[in-house]
Amino acid sequence: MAANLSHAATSGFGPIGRRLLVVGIILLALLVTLAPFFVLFGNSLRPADEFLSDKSGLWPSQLTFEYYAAVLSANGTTFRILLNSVIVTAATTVIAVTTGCLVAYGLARLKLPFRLSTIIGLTFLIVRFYPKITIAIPYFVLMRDFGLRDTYAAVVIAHVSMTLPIVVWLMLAFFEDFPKQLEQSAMMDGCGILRRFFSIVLPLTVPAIATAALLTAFFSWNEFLFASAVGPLNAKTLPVEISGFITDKGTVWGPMSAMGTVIVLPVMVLALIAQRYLVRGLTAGAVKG
Amino acid sequence: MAGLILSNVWKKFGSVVAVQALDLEIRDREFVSFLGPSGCGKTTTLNMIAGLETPSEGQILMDGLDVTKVPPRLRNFAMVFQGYALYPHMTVADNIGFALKVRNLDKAEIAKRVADAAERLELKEVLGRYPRQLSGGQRQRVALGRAFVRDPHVFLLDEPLSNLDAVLRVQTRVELKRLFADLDTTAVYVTHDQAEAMTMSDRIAVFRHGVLQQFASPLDIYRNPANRFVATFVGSPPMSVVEATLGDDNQLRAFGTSIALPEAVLGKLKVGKSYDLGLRAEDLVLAPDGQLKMRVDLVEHLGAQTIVHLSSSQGRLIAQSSPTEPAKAGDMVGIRLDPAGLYLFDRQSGAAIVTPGLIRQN
Repeated sequence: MAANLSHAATSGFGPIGRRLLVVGIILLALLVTLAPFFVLFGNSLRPADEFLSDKSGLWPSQLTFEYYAAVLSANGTTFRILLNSVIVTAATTVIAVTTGCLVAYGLARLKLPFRLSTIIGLTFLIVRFYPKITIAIPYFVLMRDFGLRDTYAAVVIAHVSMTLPIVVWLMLAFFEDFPKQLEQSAMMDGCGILRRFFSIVLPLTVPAIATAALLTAFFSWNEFLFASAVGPLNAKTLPVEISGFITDKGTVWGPMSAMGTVIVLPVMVLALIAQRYLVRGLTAGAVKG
Repeated sequence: MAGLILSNVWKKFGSVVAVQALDLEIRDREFVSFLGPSGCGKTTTLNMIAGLETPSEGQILMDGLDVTKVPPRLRNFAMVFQGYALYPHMTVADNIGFALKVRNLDKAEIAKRVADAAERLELKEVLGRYPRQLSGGQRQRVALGRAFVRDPHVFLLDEPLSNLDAVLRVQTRVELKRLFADLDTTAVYVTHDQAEAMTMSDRIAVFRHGVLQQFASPLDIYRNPANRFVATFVGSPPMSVVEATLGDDNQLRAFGTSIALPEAVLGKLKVGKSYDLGLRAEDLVLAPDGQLKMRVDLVEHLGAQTIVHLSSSQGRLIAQSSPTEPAKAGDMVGIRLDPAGLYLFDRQSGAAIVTPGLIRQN
């Protein structure tokens, strides 16, 4: 590839050709990423009869908003499910980020014997490695036995257990890189460990915490498997609701697409707003500033 | 204000001994410097006084009170860090006032004390700025302000000038000296710069490999060093050290010449034994009738003085001459030795046997 590019640079293409090549690659990447969303959005506006025709294109020939009207006015069901999703996501994010930050700070600062900090840290990472379906059933059994089945608590507990490791891992890297002298300075200024954490460390790790919070929120908002296992009805979230459009009488494409768009939009908007933080947070610690 | 006593203090990091068997008494209102090359244990000792490190063994007493295990926040010591360690998310005013806020002083009192400190350190115009918007010198003054505002028992300063450029460093050194003269308080100042230690301190503690070498006044350190390390570490240009032997005629043989020694010091020396002879540049005078003939290798013009690097088949010396005496590389010159400026060290232990301070006492 590099050889081809340098060949292109020295002969034939010239600088304009090279720029076109780069733009082409970027467009291709965008196409691959965005095509599904395009189809999803198109389908959410496509009249019902067009779904069955083999002549219909990627974009519908006529637009209809009936699915949105139907989905958004279904006796408040959609709003209730939307509210479920918001509650579960918010609770998961707050609990996972708060606990994760405290755990990570403790691991980074306490001098535990036998490299316990590393071992505990690694354990947190390893729980991310196996297929989630393997513990979906145990979770179902546990929640049933605790009498928590189909409650917000069940879904939130499952989501926190999935996201806590990411938060701990991300924040651990941050706290370990945190300038030691700043904390020593705070100690000399009279701060105990809590004051030090809340007055000095926390305000300076906001980008990392924002990143951790966003990753957690995205995970919880999108998660399907555990939500469907432990919260199938009362605590039903949007992804679980979507799966309900696949029925034994066939797939209800239109409403499903409308609902899909409703789920994706907030995530996209949030990601756009937060992209500056996200990039900074994920790459922090990689290069010493 | 308080006096400090370090009694048999050790600090080990795993198998590495950073500080060993340190005994040190810092008097109330004394300005003490810890001087030594990097890794000599001076910062570790400072951190133990601050409470940021706990000694592996031994005791630290403040005004007779054992504070060895007292956490830093309860000691009321103020510290100026090498990198300043200003809080980046706070304004200058908040940085200076933070310690007072932690102590729950009321807002009016904090504002008053911050304004006083800002006035004294010429920071009034920048109180609303953030550390990243300040120059190096201003940051350094904010770090000082943070310490001054608290009225601490002891000031601890960890190489506070090392991040400044040369001109600013000398200027700030003078300002610091003036400030601390006004404050009249106990201060411990860590530095590897002998000029800072010499100019600012009441007493200097010289460290090497975690061991205290000498604790004495600047002039004593210079004219009466405890050993070869202290003698060669302090002084610029550095002391020249050559081998010398005491002959039967009680004269010292070095550089193929004989040097008469003062009567009083002969009792400390053995005939036929070799010593390390130390000579400071200012005690070596270029003179046509000088007993030593050497060749000029290199001349360094510093303006007020000229440093002349000399060599002969017997060894090398660094001498000082006045800028008006022309000396060029390649010239043969005569050197006069001042016998009252001689240092003699034991060749094995390095311990000082004869020093100018000693010669003068006799």
